[in-house]
Amino acid sequence: MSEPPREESIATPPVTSRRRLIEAIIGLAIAGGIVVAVWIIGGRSGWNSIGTGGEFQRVLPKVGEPAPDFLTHDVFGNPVRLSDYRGKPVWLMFWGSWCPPCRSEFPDINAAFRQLEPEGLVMLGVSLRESPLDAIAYAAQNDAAFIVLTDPTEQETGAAFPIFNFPTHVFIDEDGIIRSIVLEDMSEAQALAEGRALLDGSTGS
Amino acid sequence: MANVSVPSPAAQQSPVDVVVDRIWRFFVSVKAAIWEIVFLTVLVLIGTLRGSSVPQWIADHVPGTSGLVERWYAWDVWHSLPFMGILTLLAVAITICTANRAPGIWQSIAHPTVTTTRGFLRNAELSATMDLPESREAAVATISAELRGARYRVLTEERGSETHVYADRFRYGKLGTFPFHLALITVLVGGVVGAKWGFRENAFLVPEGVTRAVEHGTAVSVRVDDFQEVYRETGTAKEFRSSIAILENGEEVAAGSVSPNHPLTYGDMVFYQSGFGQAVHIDWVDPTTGQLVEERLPLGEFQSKNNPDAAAAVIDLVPAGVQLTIVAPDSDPRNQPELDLLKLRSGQMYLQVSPLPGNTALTTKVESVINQGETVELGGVPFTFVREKRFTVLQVARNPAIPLFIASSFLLVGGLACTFYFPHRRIRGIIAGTGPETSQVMLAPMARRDWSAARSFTSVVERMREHLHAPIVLVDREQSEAATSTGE
Amino acid sequence: MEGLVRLSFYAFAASSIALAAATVCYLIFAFGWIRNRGTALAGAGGPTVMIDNGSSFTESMGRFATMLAWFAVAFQGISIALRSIAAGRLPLSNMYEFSKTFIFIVLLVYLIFERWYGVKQVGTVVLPLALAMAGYVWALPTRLREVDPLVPALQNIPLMTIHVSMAIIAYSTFAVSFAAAVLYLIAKDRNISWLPKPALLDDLAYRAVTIGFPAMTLVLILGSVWAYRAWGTYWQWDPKETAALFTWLIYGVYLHTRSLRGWRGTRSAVVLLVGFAAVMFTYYGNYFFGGLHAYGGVR
Repeated sequence: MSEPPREESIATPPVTSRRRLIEAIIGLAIAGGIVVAVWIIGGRSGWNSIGTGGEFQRVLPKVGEPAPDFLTHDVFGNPVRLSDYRGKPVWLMFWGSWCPPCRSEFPDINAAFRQLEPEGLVMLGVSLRESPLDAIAYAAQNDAAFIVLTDPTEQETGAAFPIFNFPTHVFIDEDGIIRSIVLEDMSEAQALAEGRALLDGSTGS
Repeated sequence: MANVSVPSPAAQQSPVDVVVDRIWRFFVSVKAAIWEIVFLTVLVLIGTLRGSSVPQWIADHVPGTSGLVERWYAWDVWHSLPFMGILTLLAVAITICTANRAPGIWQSIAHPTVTTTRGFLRNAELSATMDLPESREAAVATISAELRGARYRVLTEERGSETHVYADRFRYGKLGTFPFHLALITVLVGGVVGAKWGFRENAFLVPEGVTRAVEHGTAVSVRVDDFQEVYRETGTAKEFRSSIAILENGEEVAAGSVSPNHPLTYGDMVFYQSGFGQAVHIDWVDPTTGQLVEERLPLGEFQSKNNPDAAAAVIDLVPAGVQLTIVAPDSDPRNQPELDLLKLRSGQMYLQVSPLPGNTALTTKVESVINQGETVELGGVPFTFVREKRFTVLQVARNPAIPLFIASSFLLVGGLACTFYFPHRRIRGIIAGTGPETSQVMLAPMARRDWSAARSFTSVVERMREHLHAPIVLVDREQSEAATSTGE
Repeated sequence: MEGLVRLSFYAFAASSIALAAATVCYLIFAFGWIRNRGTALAGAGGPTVMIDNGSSFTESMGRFATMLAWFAVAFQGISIALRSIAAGRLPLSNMYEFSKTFIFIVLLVYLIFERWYGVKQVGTVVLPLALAMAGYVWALPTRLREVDPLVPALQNIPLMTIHVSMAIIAYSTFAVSFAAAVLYLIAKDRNISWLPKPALLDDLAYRAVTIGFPAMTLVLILGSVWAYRAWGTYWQWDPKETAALFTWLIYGVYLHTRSLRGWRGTRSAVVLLVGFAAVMFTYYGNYFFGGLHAYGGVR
C-alpha cells in the first residue's frame, strides 16, 4: 500500500519508444503537410497581395528617386512640364485655397520663397480640386510669388504625384531627383531651411 | 448624552448599544461586504451599458421599455448618489473588515495552535502515516528536519506520550491582503483628493502666437508658438504637435513640444495636446487709446446663423463698445451648401459688428466681407484681416493625487502577488512512541477542498519517502470514497 | 518588410489548420473516453481496466491533440514574430492583431496548465474557444490583414505592448478557468468518469484566476497610466474602462466568496461563467461602445 496516489484521473498507459517514434514521424508529416497545404491555398486565394497596404502603402515617388514628369497648365492656360525646369532646383507644392492649413501657411511660405528666389530657386504651386479661377483669385489677392499651376481634376498630375493631404511640399534638385518631401504646413523658418538645404545640395553636386 | 454605557447583560443593552452593535456587525460581516461588491458591480454594469448601444437595442426589441431606457441614458451613474454611497460604504467596510481580521491573521502567523487531535488527522481528506525505527525524540528530530528541508517552519509541543507538530510555509503571504485593501482605500481617497484639489481644463484653445492664462489660482500661462499637423503620404494623420512655452508671472519657465502621448509637465501641472482648428489674425484700433490691438481668434467655438457649418468666432471688444462676429469660408464640401447665405470665397472673412449695451453711437448691426490684407471700418472701428492661422486645443490638468495612485498601484500588485503566489501551507501531525525504539508519525495538511495544497503535501511526503526509506501510507479519503462509489 | 507581412499571414493560416485539427483530436479524445468508459463499466462492473485497444487509440489521439495544439502555438508564434518585425511593434493595435495574439496566448496558457495538472480534458472547451476566435479573425475585413500605422493616440509602443498584452494574459487565463468551470459543472455529482476530479477542476480554475486577476489589475493600472499620458486623466469612465472594471469586480467577488466564505465547486463555477461573460463583453465591447477605445478597426 505504498503506491503514491495518481493525480491524473485518467491513467496514461505506458507508451513504447517505437510507438513514440511513429507518432513523432506522423507529427512531422502533418506539420509539413500543413505548410504545403497553406502554400497551395494561399497561391490560389490571392494572399500574395497581402503586405502592400497600410503602413507599406506608397503613393508618392520616393525621396532619392527621379521626380516623375507631368504636363499641366498655368493660369493663362499654357502647358507647363515639370521637366521644363530641369537644371534648376524646384520647390513643388500641391495646395488648394479651400484648405485651411494651406491658407494658414501661405504668408510664411510666400515670404520664404521671396528670400530664396534670387538664389535661383523655382517654386511651382499646383492647385488641386478647385476651379482655376478660385486659385488664381486667391493667389493674386495674396501676392503669390511662385508660379501658380492648376489641375482641378488631378488628371494631369495625379498619376505622377497622387496627393492625399494638403499641403504637400516636394523639393527637387537640378538633376530632377527628389531631395525631400514635407507632409505638413510649414513655418517661414522651416520653409527657409528646406529651401536652403535644396539650394546647398544642388550647388554642391 | 444618551450614551451612558453601563456594562450589562446583553438583554439589558441600551438601544444605542444595540444600534452600534448592529452597525459593527454589519461592517464586519463578510456576507454584507460581498453583497456590497455585488451591488457596486451591478452599478458599474448599468453605467457601462449606458455608454453603449445595448439599452437602445433593448428599447427597440422589448416593448414598453423605451421610457426606462431614456431614463437609463439620462442617468449619470458615476456621479450619482447610490454610486458614491456604495463606494463610501465599501471603503468603511474594507477598513473595518480588515481591521477585524487582523488580530486573527497575526495570531495564526505568530502564535499558531500547535496541538491537534487524532480525529482531525483521521478525518483529513489526505493524510500520511509511517512507522519509524527510532525513539519518539529521534523521530521528532527526523520529521522536523524533513519539514525544514522542505522550507517549512516547524513548531512542536509535548502532550503526554505524544509530540504534536505544526509546520507552515509562506505564513507572511497572508499579510498580502492588507496592502491590497489599503490600496483600494487610497485609490478612493485619491479620487476625492484629485476632485477637490486638482483641476482639469479640457478645451484650452490657444491660437498660434497667443499667450493664455491657465487661471485656477495659478500664475501660469501658456504661449503657443507653432502648431503643426503631420500626415503620411496616404493621408492618414501621423502626428499633431504644438510648440509651447510655459510662463509663470510672465517669465518663461519651460518650453517644449506637446503631442498626443507626449505631454509637457511643469511642476505638478501637465499640458496635453488634444485638438486643433482654424484661427484668424485680425487687427483693430482701440478708439479710446488709438492703439493697434492684435487679435488672434480660434474659429469654431461658435456657430453663425448665416452658415452654421462654417467656423466662426465671437468676441466682445469692450473698449470699442462692440461685439465682433467673424465667419470663415466653409471648406468642407460635405457640409450643406444650402445653409450658406454668405457664399464666402477662400481668403475672405465675414465680419459683423453689433453694439454692446451702453453703446449709443451704434444702433444696428453692420457687416462686411473682406479679403486677406484688407481693412474695413465697421461701427467706427477699423479692422484689418491680417492672415489666417491655426489654433491648438490643449488640456491642462493638475492632480495632486498622482503620487497616491502610484503608491496604490504598487501596493495592489504586491499585495496580490503575496496572496496568490505565496499561499500559506500548513501541516499538522502527531508523533507517538510505539516502543523504545519505534514510533509512529501521522501527518495531514490543512487542505480541505484545496487540490494545490494537497499536491504540495504529497510532494513533501514523497520527499520523506525518498529520504527515510520508510514505508509511508498516504490515504486519500476522497479518492477511496470515489472508488467505492464507482464499484457499486 | 512587405514580404514578412505576407509570410506572417501564411503562418497564421497554418496555425488555423493545426488548431482545427487539434480541436478535432481533443474532441475525439474526450468522446473516446466516454465510449470506452461506457463499455468498460457495462462489461466489467468492477474497477475498470484502462488499457485496451480502444483506449490506446484514444490515448494516441490525446497525444496528437497536444502535439497539434503545440503546432498551432508555434505557427502562431512565427506569425506574430514576423508581423512584429515588419511593424516594429507587437501586433496588438486592432481587433485582428489582438485576436491573433489572444489565440497564441490562450493556447500557450492552456498547454502550460495541461502540463502542470496532467489533464487534457480542459482542452475540449479551450480549443473550440480558440478555434472560434480564429474563425472570427478570418471573418474580419481583409484590409485589417495589412499593418496599419498607429493613430497618434496609440503611439506609445512600450505602454501599448504591456497594457494590451496584460489584457490578453488576463482574458486567456479567464478563458482557461471558464473551461474548467464548465467541466466542473458537468462533472459534479454525476460521477462522469472521463473527467478529472471535480476538486482538481476547481483548483485549476482558481489557479488560472490567480494569474488572471493580478493581470487584470495591471490592465487597469497601466490603462490609467496610459490614459494619464495620452488623454490627460487617469480615469475617464470610458465604457471600455468600466467594462474592464466590471470584469475585475466579478473576479473579485469570486476570490472573496472563495477565500472568506469558503465557496467551492458549483457556486464558484457559476461566478466564473458570469466572469467569462463579462470578459467576452469587454473583449467585443468595441462593437457596441463608442468612446475612447474605438481603435478596433471593426466599425
